[in-house]
Amino acid sequence: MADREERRFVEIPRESVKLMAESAGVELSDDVAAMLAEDVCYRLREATQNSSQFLKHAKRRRLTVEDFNRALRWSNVEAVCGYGSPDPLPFRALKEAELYFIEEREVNLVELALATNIPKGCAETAVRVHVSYLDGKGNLESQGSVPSAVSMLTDDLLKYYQHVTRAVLGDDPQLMKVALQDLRTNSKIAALLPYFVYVVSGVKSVSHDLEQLNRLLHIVKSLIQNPFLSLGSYVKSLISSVMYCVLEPLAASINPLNDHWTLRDYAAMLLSHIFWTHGDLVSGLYHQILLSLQKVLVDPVRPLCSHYGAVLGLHALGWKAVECVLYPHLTTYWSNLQAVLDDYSVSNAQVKADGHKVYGAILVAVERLLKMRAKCPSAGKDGMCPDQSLLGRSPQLSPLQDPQTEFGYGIGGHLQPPGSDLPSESPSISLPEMYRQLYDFFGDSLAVRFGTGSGPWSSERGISVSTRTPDVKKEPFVDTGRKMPQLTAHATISPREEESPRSEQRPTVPQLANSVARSRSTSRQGHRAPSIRDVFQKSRFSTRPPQFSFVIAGRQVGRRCQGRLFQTVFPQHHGPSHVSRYAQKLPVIGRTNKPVRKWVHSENSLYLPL
Amino acid sequence: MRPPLSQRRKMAALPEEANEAESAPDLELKVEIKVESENLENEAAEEKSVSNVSNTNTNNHSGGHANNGGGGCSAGNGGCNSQPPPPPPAATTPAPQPALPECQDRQTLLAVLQFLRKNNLKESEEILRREAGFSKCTEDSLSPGGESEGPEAILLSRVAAGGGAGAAAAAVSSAAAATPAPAASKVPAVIAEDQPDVSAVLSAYTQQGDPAKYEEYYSGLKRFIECVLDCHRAELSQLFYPLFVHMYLELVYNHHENEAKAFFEKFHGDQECYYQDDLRVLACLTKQEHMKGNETMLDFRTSKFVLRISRDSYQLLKRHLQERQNNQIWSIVQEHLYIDIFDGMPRSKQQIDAMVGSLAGEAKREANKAKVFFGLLKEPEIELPPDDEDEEAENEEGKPKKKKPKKDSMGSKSKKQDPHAPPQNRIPLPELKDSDKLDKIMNMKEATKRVRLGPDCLPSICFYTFLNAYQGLTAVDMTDDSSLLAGGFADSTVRVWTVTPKKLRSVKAASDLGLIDKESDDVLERIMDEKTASESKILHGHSGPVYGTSFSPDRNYLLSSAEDGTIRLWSLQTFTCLVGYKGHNYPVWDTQFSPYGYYFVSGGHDRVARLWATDHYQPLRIFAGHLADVMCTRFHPNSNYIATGSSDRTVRLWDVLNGNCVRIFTGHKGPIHSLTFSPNGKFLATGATDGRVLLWDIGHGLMIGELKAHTNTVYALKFSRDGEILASGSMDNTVRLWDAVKVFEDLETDDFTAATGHVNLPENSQDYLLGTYMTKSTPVTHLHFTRRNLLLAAGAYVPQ
Repeated sequence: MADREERRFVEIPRESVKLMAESAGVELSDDVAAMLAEDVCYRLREATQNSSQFLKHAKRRRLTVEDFNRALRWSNVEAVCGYGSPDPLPFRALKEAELYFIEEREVNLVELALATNIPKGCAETAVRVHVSYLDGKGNLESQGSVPSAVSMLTDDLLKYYQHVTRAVLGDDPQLMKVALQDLRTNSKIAALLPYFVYVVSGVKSVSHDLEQLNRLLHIVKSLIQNPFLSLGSYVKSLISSVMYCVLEPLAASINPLNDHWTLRDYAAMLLSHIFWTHGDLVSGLYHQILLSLQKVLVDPVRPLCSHYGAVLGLHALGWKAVECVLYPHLTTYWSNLQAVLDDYSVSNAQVKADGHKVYGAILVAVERLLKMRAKCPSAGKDGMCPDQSLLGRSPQLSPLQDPQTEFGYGIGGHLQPPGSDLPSESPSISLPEMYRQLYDFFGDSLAVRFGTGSGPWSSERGISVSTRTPDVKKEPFVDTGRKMPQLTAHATISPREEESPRSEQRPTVPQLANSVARSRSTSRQGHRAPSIRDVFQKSRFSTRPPQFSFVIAGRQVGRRCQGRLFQTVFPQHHGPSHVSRYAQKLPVIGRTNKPVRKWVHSENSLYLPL
Repeated sequence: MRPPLSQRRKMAALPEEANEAESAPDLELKVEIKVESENLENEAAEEKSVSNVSNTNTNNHSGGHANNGGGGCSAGNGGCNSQPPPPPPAATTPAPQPALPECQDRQTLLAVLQFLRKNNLKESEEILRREAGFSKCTEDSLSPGGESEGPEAILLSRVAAGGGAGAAAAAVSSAAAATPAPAASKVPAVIAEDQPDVSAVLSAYTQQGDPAKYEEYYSGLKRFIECVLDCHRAELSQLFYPLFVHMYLELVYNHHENEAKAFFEKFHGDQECYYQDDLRVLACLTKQEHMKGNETMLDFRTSKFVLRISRDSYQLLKRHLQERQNNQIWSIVQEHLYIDIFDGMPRSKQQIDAMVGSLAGEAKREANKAKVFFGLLKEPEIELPPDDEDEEAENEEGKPKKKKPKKDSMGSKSKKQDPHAPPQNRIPLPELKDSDKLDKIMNMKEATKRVRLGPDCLPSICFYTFLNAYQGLTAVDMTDDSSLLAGGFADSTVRVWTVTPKKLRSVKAASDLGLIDKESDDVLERIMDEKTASESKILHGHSGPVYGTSFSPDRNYLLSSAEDGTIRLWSLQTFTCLVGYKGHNYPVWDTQFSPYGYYFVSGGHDRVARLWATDHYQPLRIFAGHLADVMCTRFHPNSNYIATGSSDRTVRLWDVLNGNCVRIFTGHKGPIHSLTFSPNGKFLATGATDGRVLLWDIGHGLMIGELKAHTNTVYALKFSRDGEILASGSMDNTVRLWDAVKVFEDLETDDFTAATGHVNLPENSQDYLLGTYMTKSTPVTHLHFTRRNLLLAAGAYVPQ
């Protein structure tokens, strides 16, 4: 019969018995071991048979350790302790020794005992009734809704949920702040997580309202910062909400007066934050994000603001993402972008402005790419895969670890520790080659600022730090004085004054005129640049890892400081002729740009006037 | 530590128990008598049995044979060493014939002496010893001689030579086997392990029980059965399974492990699929030592497997076995099978399949002959003057015409005495209290609003889902008026919920009660402590999973039975435990209150069901007879009978009055987990792990329906209030509704069927299935029809 083959029992080999005996200090002969083995098998089967009775009466489908122990207890055998957990026990094999064992993790009792986030007991057992079938017919659906956690929420939690959502989405900014702060620190809202995630997923329905979108993103930020929440698979949902804000041509962006750029900046920063802190919760997340970003980027039909978002997203994912997605596409993308930027017609003004934004974003991204490549000359290739080293470095890579910088997107505070070793692979494209290519596109606007040491820089982080790269090959030092920072990321100032203690340390510039800010940065640039450049020149390919501090800060273009804080001064280019035509025109563009009044009401903005 | 199960089982068998003759004390008694009467005549056999007793009960494996008292016999044995398995036939057959008689006498005497000593019958032992002129030392030295396998084989041959003493030998040997009872306290187990020897003795007639021949015997019979006429084949095929089991056990018992394994491998595939579970247990048994204490083995040994075979078929079998001199099989048939011979047509395969499947074969026909008073008791007459007005007020526009006949019918129903009903006072029942009367009135009022169910009018279903029942919901019960819900949990708690707006309140503390004005009209309301009002209460007290819960009909008490072997009575006034009924000592799988209160029944792992009264701490009746755990227990609506379902795959009906088993229903192919009586008391529905629901006619003792649709254990069964619809709930997350009326109508109860018990069930039970209702992910653990015929189901949601 067919089932004859199936009727196999697990048998315990005599070797096992002997081994056990040995461990107990007894020598067994083969015969004895064989007999014992057979007996053990029988006893085990008997106990298993008996335990099935307990299973049946417990009205379960799966036999548990508890059932087995009951059977043992009733046959006067000591129960086996320590296997009561409902979680599956991983059974590992040690290949070298042909050894199989159950993995036992050590539990730090001290930690367990002193843990402050004591898990709340699971919800109270309750009985719910619902009419499943009326008159035995009608709804062919089964048994009503699966009991969701909402019915289980205690009144307190429900109240909390209502209050918080109302506060965050409501009008009172003070209340909102308090609510967000609590969301960030409350240890007891785990049960509400799905609801907040659901609320956040409402971004799609409020895409016309920047303010609401912003608030929803703030909720996301608070949630991911809450150390007591285990986001689990909700990460995906959060990321898709955030990506929506980053990439989608929001309804709000139809009106050029809406500062959706800021929103995108902020969302991209969040994306980066989520990814670096929670990215390991979802496997393949990195590639998923990369793919979706790439899809947007290569789609010429998409509006520029989407492209802008994609570039920001890539930037947020790290320079390797930039290298493996943006950089290869740059050539094709460039032609499209240039077409936009070259069109001086009035009707194109808005689009062109958008184009400038994209241009700026790309520039920021590739600058960091260059910088990082320069920093880690050997780490050219592994940008393809976000390996452990990448994730492990997240604290350094992620600027958002610093709570002070929370509103300043794009502050690339890469304080790479000197010792961090990346797997060394030969870079696909050498740095000079890459630089050359990029220079073709950006010309002198490709500026990378290198900082050494943290001394004077740390205090200046967050303030206007203009970056530029010295064109090592072509730029003579004497040009320095003329060279104003082309790419300028200005620090946000006004809204952070309330929150950021750091703002106390730095000179307050909000009301200062453009010229002041400009002169400050200019002067600073002016006298420091040569020395840094020196360092850079010497150390670019040297083994000594310089300390980078590359800060791109958004600039608050608030009510009080209308317009840009500084203008871009572009130097006359006198390099080789292969430098793109556009690069030479940039200063013109920069100058012709009107003071940007339209970007008002944004809390922070990555302001990249070019 | 607890004493072993078998012992406690014995202890549990109080003298009160009055039923099957299978109980241990009876057997013991019989045994002793037999010894007295037969020890003088059938010595030849006894010595064998004694040698086996010593073999099994002493651990002394000295192997060598001390040959002082043994005379010729010992000399003959001395040559054989004690190496186990099969002794060479050469050594066995030429046993020293001449020396035999004397040797046998001596050994027999020794055997009897040993038996007496074991049995603490010192005086008899002394007397016998004096008469025989034996000294103690000779005996001692002789007894170990029987231990080795070799001498045993020789003894076998001698038994053969002695001739004709088979039956007596068997009786005595089983007696001998049972002897160590007082000392070893393992009566059934010892019987179980020693009985194979009996067969071994018998098998010695022809082939000396050569293990190699077993396969031959079995396949010989198989060939024969396969060749007989079709009409007989189905009947005779029933023999396969018991024979297979017994032959296998004999092999195992006699240490022919390899042969046993080969035998099992060769033939287990031929067995009917519904014996799979037992075969699995059997396959585990490969050593003699393992048979000790194995419960399944116990069942095979202590009970005869019952087969129902027509006379013609039986004659055919008998003739075949005699022709072939197939004594091996014949002896098993004689020893371990009970063949219930009937005159008439042989049964068809379908008829047989419907009825077999239980652990011990079918029920004997006479087991179901007793008269059962299945009618309902006369309802006490309750005058309803006050609510007549109410009703009138309620349905003012209702026609007064309609109301009158309704009242009449109700009245007549209670006035007419059911001819099948037991005498009103057959079982003393508690008197009705005022509150009970009130409840009855409520019930009647509700009943007038009851929905008439039928195939065209199916009940609505409400599902009570237990959420977050991570501690494991194991039992559910509801009060008759559907106001309270109790859940038993694996974490040994019992939780009570109110499902009406009326909250659960407990009575005030004694000190506060003293302050209450006892004369006030609302004193019952005043005694309740409003502060304790809540939707649910948790009852702590058990120390193991709670497997059964039952509300008392007056809703004042709750019973719960648990793994800790106790049944607890809880007060629903104070929400405290009132009594812990101890007696089962093993997990108590189910308990239920009598429909009239006061009595309750419980059944458990100790294989007995017990009848208790709430004011007695000891059981009033013990219903023993099931061969395995009693899984579920239910009271008949008239409270005179109790039905129990067991994992031996039988359902039994017990008379509360005298404790007799009055019905044995076989046909289930798996342990029975649910039972329910029809409201009129005529029918019984049972559900088992195989997902089938069987319907039984109690009066005739017949299976009347088989409802197949569920794919997993049926945990809940309930008839609608008028008995038209049977609802079944299962582990497969469905509730199914069946047309009970149709099942009962289709049944032709002609005299022949009733007499023989041969039922022809319709092939397809799908015609009866009225509806299948899925839950999302909730096994259905309980079903309940409200008084208005709304179906309530309950179960714990299982997150996937």
